[in-house]
Amino acid sequence: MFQFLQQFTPDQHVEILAGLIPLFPLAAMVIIAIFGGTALKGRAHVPAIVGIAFSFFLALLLLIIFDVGQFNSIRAALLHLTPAQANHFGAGNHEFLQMKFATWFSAGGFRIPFGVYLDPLSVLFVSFVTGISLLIFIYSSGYMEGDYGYFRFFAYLSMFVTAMTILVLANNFLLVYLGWEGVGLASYLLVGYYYPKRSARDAATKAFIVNRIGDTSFAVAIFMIYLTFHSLNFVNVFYGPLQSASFRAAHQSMMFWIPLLLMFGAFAKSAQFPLHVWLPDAMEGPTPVSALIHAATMVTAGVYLIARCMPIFMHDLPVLHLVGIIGTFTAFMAATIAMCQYDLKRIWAYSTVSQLGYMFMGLGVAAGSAAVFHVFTHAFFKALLFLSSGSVMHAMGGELDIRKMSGLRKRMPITTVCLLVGALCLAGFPGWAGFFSKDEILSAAMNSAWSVGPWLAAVGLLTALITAYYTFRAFFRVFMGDLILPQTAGLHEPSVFTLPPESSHESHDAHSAHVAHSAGQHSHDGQHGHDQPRNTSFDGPISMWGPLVILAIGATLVGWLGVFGGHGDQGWIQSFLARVPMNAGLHYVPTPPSGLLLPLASVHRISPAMGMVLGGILAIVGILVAWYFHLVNRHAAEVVKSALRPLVTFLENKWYIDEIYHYCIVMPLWYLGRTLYGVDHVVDGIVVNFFGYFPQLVGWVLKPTQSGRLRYYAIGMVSGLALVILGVLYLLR
Amino acid sequence: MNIPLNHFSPEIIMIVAAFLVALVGVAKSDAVRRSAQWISLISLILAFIAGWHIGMVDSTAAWPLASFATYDTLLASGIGILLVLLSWDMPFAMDPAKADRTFRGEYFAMMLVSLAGVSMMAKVDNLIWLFIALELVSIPTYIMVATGRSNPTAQEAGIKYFFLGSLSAAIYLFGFSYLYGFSGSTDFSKIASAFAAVPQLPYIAMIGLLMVVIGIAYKIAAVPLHYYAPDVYQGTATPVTAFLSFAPKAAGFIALILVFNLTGWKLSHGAARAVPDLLMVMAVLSMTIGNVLALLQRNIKRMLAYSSISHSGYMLVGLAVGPLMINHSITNGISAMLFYLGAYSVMTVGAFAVLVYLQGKLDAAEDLDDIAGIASAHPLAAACMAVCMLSLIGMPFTVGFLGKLFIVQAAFSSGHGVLAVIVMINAAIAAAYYLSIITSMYLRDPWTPFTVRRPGAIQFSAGIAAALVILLGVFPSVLMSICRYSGSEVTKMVVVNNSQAPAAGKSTAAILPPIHLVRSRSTPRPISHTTPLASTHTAVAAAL
Repeated sequence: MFQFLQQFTPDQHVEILAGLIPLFPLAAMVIIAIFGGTALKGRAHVPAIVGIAFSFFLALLLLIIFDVGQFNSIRAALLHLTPAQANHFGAGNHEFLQMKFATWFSAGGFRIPFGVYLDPLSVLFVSFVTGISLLIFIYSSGYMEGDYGYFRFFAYLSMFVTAMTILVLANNFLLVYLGWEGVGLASYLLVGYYYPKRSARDAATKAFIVNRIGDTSFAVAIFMIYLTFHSLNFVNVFYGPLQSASFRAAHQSMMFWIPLLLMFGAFAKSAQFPLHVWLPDAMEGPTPVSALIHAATMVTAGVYLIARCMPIFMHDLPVLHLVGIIGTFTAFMAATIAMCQYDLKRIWAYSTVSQLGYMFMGLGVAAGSAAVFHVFTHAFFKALLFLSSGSVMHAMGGELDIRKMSGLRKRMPITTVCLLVGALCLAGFPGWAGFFSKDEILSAAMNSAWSVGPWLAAVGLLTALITAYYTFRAFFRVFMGDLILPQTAGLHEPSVFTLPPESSHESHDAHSAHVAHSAGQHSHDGQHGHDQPRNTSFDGPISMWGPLVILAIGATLVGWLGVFGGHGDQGWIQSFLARVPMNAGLHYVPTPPSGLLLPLASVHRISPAMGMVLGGILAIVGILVAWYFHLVNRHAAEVVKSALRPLVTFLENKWYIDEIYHYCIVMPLWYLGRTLYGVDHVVDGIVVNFFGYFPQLVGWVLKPTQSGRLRYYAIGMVSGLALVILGVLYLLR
Repeated sequence: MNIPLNHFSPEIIMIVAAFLVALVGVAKSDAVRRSAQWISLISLILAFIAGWHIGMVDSTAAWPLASFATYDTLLASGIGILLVLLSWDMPFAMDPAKADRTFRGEYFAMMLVSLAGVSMMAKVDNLIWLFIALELVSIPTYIMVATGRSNPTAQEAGIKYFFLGSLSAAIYLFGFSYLYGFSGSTDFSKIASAFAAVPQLPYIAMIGLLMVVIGIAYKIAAVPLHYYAPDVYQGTATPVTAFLSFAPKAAGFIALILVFNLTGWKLSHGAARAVPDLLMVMAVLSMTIGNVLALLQRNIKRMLAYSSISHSGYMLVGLAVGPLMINHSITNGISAMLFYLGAYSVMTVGAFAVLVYLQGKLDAAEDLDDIAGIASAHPLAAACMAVCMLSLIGMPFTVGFLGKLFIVQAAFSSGHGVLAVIVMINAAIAAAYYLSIITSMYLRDPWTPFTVRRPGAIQFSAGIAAALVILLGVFPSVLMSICRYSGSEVTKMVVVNNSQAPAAGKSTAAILPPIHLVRSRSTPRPISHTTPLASTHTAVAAAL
């Protein structure tokens, strides 16, 4: 059946498998776009889920193939290898595999192919991106059920994942840029999905514009890379002349600007200070979109970019250090803001910004695999937190204010357990995912040869304490204590498409009808109608809580991959990523691929075990503080809050960063526009009038027949010409 | 002229068809009159095929700028096809009851004559011919603007466009007279020899060039003479606006290339620096003013007028950078500019086609409110518009992305880093207002009920344009190679002109050290990367 495949080598088989990954969601997108409104309608999720499931399956195969030393028999069977070949496949001389399928365009020596670049980094990314997306797609089919434009939603989701897989698998910078822009466009469409809401439209535009800043920076970096390396292919850039010291000396300025501009690009996409402003607003989209943006697709792109370009960053340490410092600052800032937010999703949004800060801290101290490990675990528990919050929102009729609800564990047992798992991970409670990955980053920073590293780690530890506090503040408020439900509980999340804010009366009727319809579907035991919502379990249909349970199990287990399963005393993840050139020496010694410089040595200030104990203690302390103030004695929280009023106001207003933007960038640009407009009018009117005064007089005498303005234009043109020529002559005199 | 007559067959086809259309247009029978559009369409398709055939068969041997001329012909007839399709029901646009039936023929005849002028532009070899070609493009457009709508705004726009256009013609004609005064001939080869013979550009020639640049700035709606564009674009009928955004612009840019070609591109030192410097200042001002002012507009036609000013700015960057090409650059500035010209024409005509299709208050959708929420009722029209807007933004997989890529790359690799960064910042700003159009279509509820135009031709032209935007973005090889050939012909002209220099009489020693371009072509020495890169570095530093 697959005879034609015989002509390819096993390497190429693997590459072709990888090349198919973006095509499945792409095909799903096309199918939904064509048939969504007619044939599919309410079944529009089927092609999307099938497409992403195929991609995930292929990604898993890649993961198995690249996991050298294990699964040898499966690899042998897959690729028709002998056991000996299977044992060595992908090891040794293969740091990466790459293949070009077709040429996008070429001009002279310049050639941009469609090709894939596979190494453990891209394989790991593509597998968790497709895996988490699959769960989110399944969840969405329950969450968005009956929504207006259901098929549109799944078409956008598929487009989002297509762009992200292209970004991760691309073998050259321009193709990465393609995915980069595609992700931005898809997020714009999805964040603005509830477009009748003004806030959603504004959030979508904000996300797009802020990302454009990063895109521009990234694009300039790409041009500089081309000018320096005469290629945009990863292999030629990372493994080519970059290795020679004389080449680097000849391009010293480029060696500074390229990573700096790449850094800005990554910061816009991954929401780091000062370009983080779009991410908290982006939760205006439907909750599955938030989960997708925060966990799997969008924000991880920046981390991927810097991890991928680590060979360039390694040669300009000041920029790498800047990455670490800004990351640490962002982690701290976002955590403090999260302490004083009242919207459940907004708290998780700021926690994402904060956790991304940790990842950049890890990259900044050249602990690439620790940072990628944190991306990996974060994808699980952040998806879990958002989707659980989505279930809460679904059950509470769109309400997410943590001051208005309490004790939900009695109504939503499954959701409570799932969210608790997510919270334990985020807080870094010993044994759960976030604990291992965060502490690996912190101990890497602590042991960094860079003298600032320990200070970053100290800030990171303080942030860990705050993180544990705000995470459990939300958990204790919402799920523990006495049962308090908001007025809207039991109603379906109001659909913005049927509920314009002006006409509340008539829409209420339509709304209740909708609730009656949805309550029958959403109570999974099916016996309780909406007339007794207070006795109903609010967990939702299995398509919603099923993915939650899988994610909860995953979030519980993936952390252990950082401890067990690898070669020697390494965790699986460290051994898997060891061949990717993005690590300085840590507590294990990576085998550097041929000829790559690893300039950052590490020192031993603190043992990993000590770091783990410290992190664990801080997490428990933070949880205990939250337990006291938000469960045992909620009144005390109010007392403390009023005592610290100025600080709380500062944090509630998110450090006034949006306001700073408004006054420093938006207003000046607006004034520039008005000024230019004014200048145009001045030239159009006053100046031309002035020059035109004399002819006007003559014309008045001669009784003009023409339109007056025209003459001024003509005189404006001639005087402009005269000015230019006289000016040039003057300059050249 | 030393160009074989058969190379003019596309223009001959268009002119003959124009007369035919003018005759048919006054026929008594309605059915006969209705054939005017078909005749125009078929003649343009024939002209396209003829141009393609000539380009394929024996272009290179014929004369030095043969592929350049082929590209021009294909552009004029190809975009012309889209323009005829989108103005299919143009004569009855605003008021079917009062429409003057003889109107139809006139309109398409004017259009064909103007397109013939665009197509002829690259084949001229004499200043007189250049002037005639430019006027052949312009004069029909004055009539089209004035008669496109019967309301007073259109009349005012027409009068304004006519008088100011005539003034600009006077300015560049004055410039031509300086060039004649300098060289003693209107013949291109003689002027080129005269330029090659002098060591440094004399003032008289430089003033001539400046006047030509400024006069033609009117045709391309670039900054010193851009004032008319928003009023005229908004005032006239939308199909005419679409025409204005293509024909005069293409003609103007091709005329500028021809005129600079005369100088052998010896414009990088001494007094001659004033010319590229002026172009760069014009480019920066055009794109910045165009983009910032477009941000303030709510009328889409006005917004696209400012957008047209800013895109002229991007193309001027290519012209200012010139055919200079260092190692490893993808294309030179001229090829990049020609590519951008084609890309811009397709995407902007596509956008106007959608506007024509969606009937608004006057004759086509104009305001952002007019297109609010059309995505639900007219998903295909909205998709075409969105594709064109994304291309104008410069999203990958659209032709607009590659256009910007080549322009910016040409600027970067010739050491104009600041210019490149300014282009990119402008592109980022521009995203905001193009996005407002997409937002209006996709993220808003319908504001007013709207009707659409019946003729399938309009939908067809919008669809073709959107498909081309994507196709040329994904498979750009054909367009790219023809632009690269055209650009390299311009470069060859430089060498030809310089080799003619001794023949022109003066001693070779008198010629200044040839500019870097010629040097890099004649002796393929390894160019050190430090110079352009260092300057890029400082440029970026300055920009940041």
